[in-house]
Amino acid sequence: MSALALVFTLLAVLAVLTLAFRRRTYLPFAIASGASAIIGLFILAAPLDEAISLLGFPLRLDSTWELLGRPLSLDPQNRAGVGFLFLVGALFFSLGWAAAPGRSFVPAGLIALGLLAGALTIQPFLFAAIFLELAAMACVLILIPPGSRSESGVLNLLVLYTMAMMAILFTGWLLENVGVTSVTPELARRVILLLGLGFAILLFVPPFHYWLPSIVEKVNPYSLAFVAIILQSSGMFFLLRFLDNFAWMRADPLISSAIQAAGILMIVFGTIVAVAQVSFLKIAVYALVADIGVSLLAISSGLESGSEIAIGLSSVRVVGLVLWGLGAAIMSKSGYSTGAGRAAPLATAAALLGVLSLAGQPLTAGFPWRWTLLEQLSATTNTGAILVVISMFAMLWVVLRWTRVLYGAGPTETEFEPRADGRVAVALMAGACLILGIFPQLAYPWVSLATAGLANLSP
Amino acid sequence: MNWLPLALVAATAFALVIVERPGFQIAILAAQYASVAWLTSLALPPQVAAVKLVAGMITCGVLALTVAGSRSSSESGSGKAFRAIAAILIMGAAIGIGRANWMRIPDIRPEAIMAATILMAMGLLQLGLFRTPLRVCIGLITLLSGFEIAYAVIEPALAILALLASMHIGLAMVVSYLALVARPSGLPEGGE
Repeated sequence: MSALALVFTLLAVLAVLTLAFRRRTYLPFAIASGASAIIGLFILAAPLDEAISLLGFPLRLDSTWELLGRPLSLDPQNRAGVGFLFLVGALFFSLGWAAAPGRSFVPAGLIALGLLAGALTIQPFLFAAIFLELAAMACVLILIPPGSRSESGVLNLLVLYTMAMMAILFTGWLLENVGVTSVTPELARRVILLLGLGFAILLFVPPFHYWLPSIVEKVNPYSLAFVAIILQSSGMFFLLRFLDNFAWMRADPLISSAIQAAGILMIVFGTIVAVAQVSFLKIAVYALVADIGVSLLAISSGLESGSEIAIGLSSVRVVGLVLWGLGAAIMSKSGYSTGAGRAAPLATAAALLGVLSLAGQPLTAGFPWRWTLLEQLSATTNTGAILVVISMFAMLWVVLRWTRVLYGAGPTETEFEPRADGRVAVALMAGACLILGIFPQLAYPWVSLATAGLANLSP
Repeated sequence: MNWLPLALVAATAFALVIVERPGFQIAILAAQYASVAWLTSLALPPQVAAVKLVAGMITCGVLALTVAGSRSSSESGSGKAFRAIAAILIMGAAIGIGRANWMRIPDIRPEAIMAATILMAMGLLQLGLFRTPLRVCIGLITLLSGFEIAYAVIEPALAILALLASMHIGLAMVVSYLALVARPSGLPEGGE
């Protein structure tokens, strides 16, 4: 029996089941979170390609599954990434009921996770681009639940992912069939250009981030946080697999310079626009852009642990985004203008803490990995490190300014607090954010496992 | 003989920019799918190229049902004369670029590379001009069809063909969902 066939069958059954129960408040979230957690742990820990005994029955789980003549395979390179996606899904589903993200959130979320798992496991991995595009389609259903307003902004996501898919598919052919390496400089430049376009879209490098701010005020923030983290994480794993598989790419200084330039652009752009921002919701979007820029800076830094830091940053980004999404979704009932913090103090504090974590502030989950990066970069005079520090101070100022605005006296000073279960969800995530900020070693085993799979990038 | 599907591709791509009634657009899209399948059959066995035609017809069927169910009106985006001039200019540029094998794809026929270039350019033009889900979907399909004509030469695997075909149907389903299940947005152009 193939492990992946088992996972995809289970996902299909779960999608149908949660669709049937979509009108229930808690049940679809409970089913999906439990199942996603089990699938995630199964992918991370199941013994593959060896005979085992389950309740006395002999069983063998194959790592490969053939679909339409193409193998999908769980290997050390992708197991941690696929497991991570399902654990992220479990976290979002487990708290989703508190944010009321709409009836399509759970079934479409499960479908998107399945498609992203397909993207990370298909061989050759260059065909992942098609699955990423299909996942983007499922994400549209997450962002626009039935009955809500159809926003043309979500179509931008489809347009961008279609272009990324075409660029990466064509690059795949050049790499696999034409055998492009650095000894064919003209073709190598073409590959770098096309790949650069593809990954700029997948990693929200400006200006390809524009679909995020265009819809952040029109869709449920929790849904947007989920979509952003699963799409961006898949893009990040995809980039790391490219670098791990092609030695000439790791060695080409043009590629590391391009990644570094993209990272610096994201940090500078994200920070400046966040500082100038007049919309509370858009701050998190630009903090996210700057945070992804820090990850790219880590990858391009040439440090032995650069990829490990990038994966670590990706893992704690989830916590910041869940917290922000949860707080902002609950706040939507009181609005985001002056006085909103007095109307919903706990939710507002959660949203602000989420932004602080995305900005890598001390005592939050986002800090330890940034600190590790800064510590290692400080050995040499590094422009990137200085920009990261400036960005952190600027983002702190932004959050303090918005704290004053949101908790100030204003027209929306009507008393509003989420239900008790919503408060519990917010408190749990805020606690997790602080615990991961104080005890970063809790996230380390997973990061270490993920990096170990990337044999050529691990320290 | 092989220049006939190329002429059809160019005519349908041009018409999709000009025509405003959704029903006509879908009929033209069906004709475009037929000519794309014809061009693809120059590189692949006809029975394999037929996958594109079948997927295209399913896509058109989903879009037709959507248009019928959503009482959608047309989206002009900008004046017809402006769109016609833009389409002529882009078509001219595409024909100029498509005369050479600019993608450097080995063994691709000249009419295939020309058709791919025209469709990709006109698809991009549609994405720039229109904002309603139906028109964006048709623009994306046109863009993808152009890419697929060229990609079929270098990657003839049935699995990839099927996955790419599923994207067309997926796009139509998403547009159908946005038109029928979600509440339509009020677009400034007076669209759907």
